[in-house]
Amino acid sequence: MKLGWLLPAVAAFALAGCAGAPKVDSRDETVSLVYGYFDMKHAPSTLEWVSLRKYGTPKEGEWYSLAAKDGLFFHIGVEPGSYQVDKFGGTGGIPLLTRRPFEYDFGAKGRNRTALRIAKPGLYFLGTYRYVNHAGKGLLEADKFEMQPSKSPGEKDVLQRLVKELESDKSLSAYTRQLQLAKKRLAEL
Amino acid sequence: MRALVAYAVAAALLAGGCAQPTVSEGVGSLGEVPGDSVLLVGRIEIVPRIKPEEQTFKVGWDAFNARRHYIGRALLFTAEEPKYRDYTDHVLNPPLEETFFVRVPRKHRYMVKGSVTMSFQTRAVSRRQVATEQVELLFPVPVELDIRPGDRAIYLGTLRLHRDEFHEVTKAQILDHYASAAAEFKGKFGAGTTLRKALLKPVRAK
Repeated sequence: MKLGWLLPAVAAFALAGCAGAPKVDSRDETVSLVYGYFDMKHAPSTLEWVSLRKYGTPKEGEWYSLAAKDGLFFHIGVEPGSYQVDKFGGTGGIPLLTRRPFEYDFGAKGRNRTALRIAKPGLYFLGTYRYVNHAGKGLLEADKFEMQPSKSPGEKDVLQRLVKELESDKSLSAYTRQLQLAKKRLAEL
Repeated sequence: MRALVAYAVAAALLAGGCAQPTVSEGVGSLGEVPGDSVLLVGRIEIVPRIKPEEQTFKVGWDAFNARRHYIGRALLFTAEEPKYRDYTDHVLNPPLEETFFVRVPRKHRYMVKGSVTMSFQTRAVSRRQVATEQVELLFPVPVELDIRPGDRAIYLGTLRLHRDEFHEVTKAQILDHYASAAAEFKGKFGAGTTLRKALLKPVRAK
């Protein structure tokens, strides 16, 4: 995977899954809660958004933009279908000097590790991954990176953060079904 | 200017970032196949079949019609060694779902990368940089081309690739449809040249 540069339109792109898209109906019982975690400690930027691309639709190019905070990312209203993370991004660099947006490609040559089929509504964990940088050889070769599966934080830890987020964010307070799903799963772990 | 840069990226993809590769899209007569090359006859089928609306190619100003290499076609990179490489100096660019006739250097006995591009887009991210976004259906590789001394034309078989919704190949078959391919070969090039059956052979990991 190559480290990409971001264009300003990405800001609008990220918003497309939030402000620009129809609000998820809190009474809709057909949608799922999807979540995961990216450890960006060794990345040149923070994690601010994750794009979940939909596959198997008549016309490709549909996606959800998942909000991210401290590595945790989630969406409370994903419709049934086939998905995988295709991109993610954030901002990095030295403020007022080199600060800029970054965009990363998770890999779209067939199925990647986050591939998911949602057949029935529920709770779906995409996993925990950490950003690993591979420095390029010499001055001319660009750095590459990979997202390696990681055991830490585990699903239980990630879920605890998610529950905390759902309970503390007032804009999500209507999604009680999603919160109950998360708490039920947490009790099982 | 941005469009020019965008096109350069698309061209670089085929060029492997350095020297311009030879792209074999199809052969109309045996005169186009020099002595150091061999004519390959075969077919690639994708199941389910790729619909036109599933493939996108957006590079801004496509002055040299690079689009034609991607839509409804495969890109097969060949080499002398069975080592995985993203790009080589020779690319076969056969059409999908029909019998193809392409030429390959006699020494290139391995297909080291094969793909169908589902989506290829470039976008300017600054005055000097362009980002590319590419979604590919990747073929299982490496695959050996059984080219022998004296061969002028060989039949590779039908490579039938089954895919899932993520464009991941879930099953690969090499089918022998020699009779119908040989009839097409005879109709196109006449009866004077032998089409030897030499089905594709997956290279086993050592």
